[in-house]
Amino acid sequence: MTKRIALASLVGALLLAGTSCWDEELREIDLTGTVRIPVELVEGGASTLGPVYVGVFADADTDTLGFTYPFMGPVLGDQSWGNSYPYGGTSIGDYAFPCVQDGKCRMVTGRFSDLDQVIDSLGLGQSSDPPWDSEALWDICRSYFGYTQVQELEFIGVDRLDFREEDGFFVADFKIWHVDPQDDAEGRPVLWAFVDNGLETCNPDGGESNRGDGPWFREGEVFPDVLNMPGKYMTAGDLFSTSATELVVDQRDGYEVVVDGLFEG
Amino acid sequence: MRHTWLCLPLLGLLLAACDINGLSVAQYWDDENNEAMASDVVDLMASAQPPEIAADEEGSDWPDPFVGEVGPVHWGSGLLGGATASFLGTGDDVCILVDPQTVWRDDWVMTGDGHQDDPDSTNYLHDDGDLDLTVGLSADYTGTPGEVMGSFERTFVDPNGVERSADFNLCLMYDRYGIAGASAGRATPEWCTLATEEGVSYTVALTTYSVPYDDDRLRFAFQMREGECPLTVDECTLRGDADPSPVTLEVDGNTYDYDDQEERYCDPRHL
Repeated sequence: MTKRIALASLVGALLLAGTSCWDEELREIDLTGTVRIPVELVEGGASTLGPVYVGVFADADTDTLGFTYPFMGPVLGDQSWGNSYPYGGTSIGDYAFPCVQDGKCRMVTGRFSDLDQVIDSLGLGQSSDPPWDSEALWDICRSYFGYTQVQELEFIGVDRLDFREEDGFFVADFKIWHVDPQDDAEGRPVLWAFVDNGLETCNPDGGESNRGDGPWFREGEVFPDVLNMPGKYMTAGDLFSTSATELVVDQRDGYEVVVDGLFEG
Repeated sequence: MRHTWLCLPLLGLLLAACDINGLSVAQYWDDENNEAMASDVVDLMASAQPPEIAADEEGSDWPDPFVGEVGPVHWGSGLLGGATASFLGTGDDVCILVDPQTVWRDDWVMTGDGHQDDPDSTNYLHDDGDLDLTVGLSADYTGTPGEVMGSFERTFVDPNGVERSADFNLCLMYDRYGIAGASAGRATPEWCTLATEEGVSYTVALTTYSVPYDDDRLRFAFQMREGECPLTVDECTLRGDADPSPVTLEVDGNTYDYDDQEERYCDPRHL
């Protein structure tokens, strides 16, 4: 009996060891790095930055459009931009609904530490008597979302701020999930990013339906083709990478994407 | 060794098994005729009066549209069905419109027991279908008119040498969020304006998505027009996509006769 138990244990251990060695041989990897934006390009400080979109593209060049832009596929029909066919991407900051319709599509996560900053930045409740303070806005938020703790609001929090200041740059970490780095391709894909300071990437007619009482509306959400056609959403005042960062074969971490160009429209 | 003879029946079974036609269990296989049921693919340009680009003559209405019909699609066969037409680019905008049979009204709802409570539209749920409209350069079309439906999906190689697929459909319809690639549903018109190169051949592909339950035949009205499409296109822009089945209504003691459901919808006299 003891021998049988020992044998079963051995087989079990072998099976467990086998599964831990299992390699799914997926091509997709996760890429990490930082986005760096020169402080002098951001007059109002990091809290005024729109969402930062970081994409992995087949290529980027300056010749086609006069500014550095990802490779584009064919421009079809009446469209102004061709699909850039990104291999993957992510954003630093996302649109959030700051409890009131006045703030729809104007609030980006990771930019504010408390509700006072939100009120000041968005000018919420200024025409109310008395003008809103953080308590007044929290009352609205609590009622709208049904939250009990102010920390539940995704768009505020000291530990949720995306950017830190380092050596004259606003720096934020990024992680792009499940990218196919095309390691066996002839060329090398690149990382390219832009900052949508104009908040054009928010679709006011999309997103969650309103959760409170009152007239029906939607809370807004990002358009689904931002990385496919960044140019569709770029307006004067946005920032972009003037030089793309080339992916290195087998390198997954430590990429640096500099967003140092001011888009003039 | 003594029981070797027992293997003989097994061998017989094995040989018989070789004669089984696996296709008989395929949903697209016609057992009676012993052949695959092909999807219906129609070349509109082979019809007696093929569709052509209607001229925009100021002061006069658009001519009647081309009215066609397609049969069922056997999805199990993996073959698409539908119809194709072609035209030469004018060097200007061309508007392409298609309106599949018949009328979509979401206010005509079923009752709780699954029956229509609108007696004059008892067949409503069963007499509409859906065609999807795509248009592109004939050079990009992967099908063969009248034989096999295709698409405008092609591949290209990106700067890294990676093969990517791209849809070269030039007939872009936009969804409510302004994203290209939208498609209308049952019985609802689809349309688009495209800028054309003069003398270049374009193909219109009307791909069958669903056909009416009642007769497996989907009528459609189709028109190619000079210039831009109208700002508003609805069920009544193109007429002729209803089965020619008269409708009689009794309202407040009066009788109203309509040629078909489309006339009842577009030219209601009983309201």
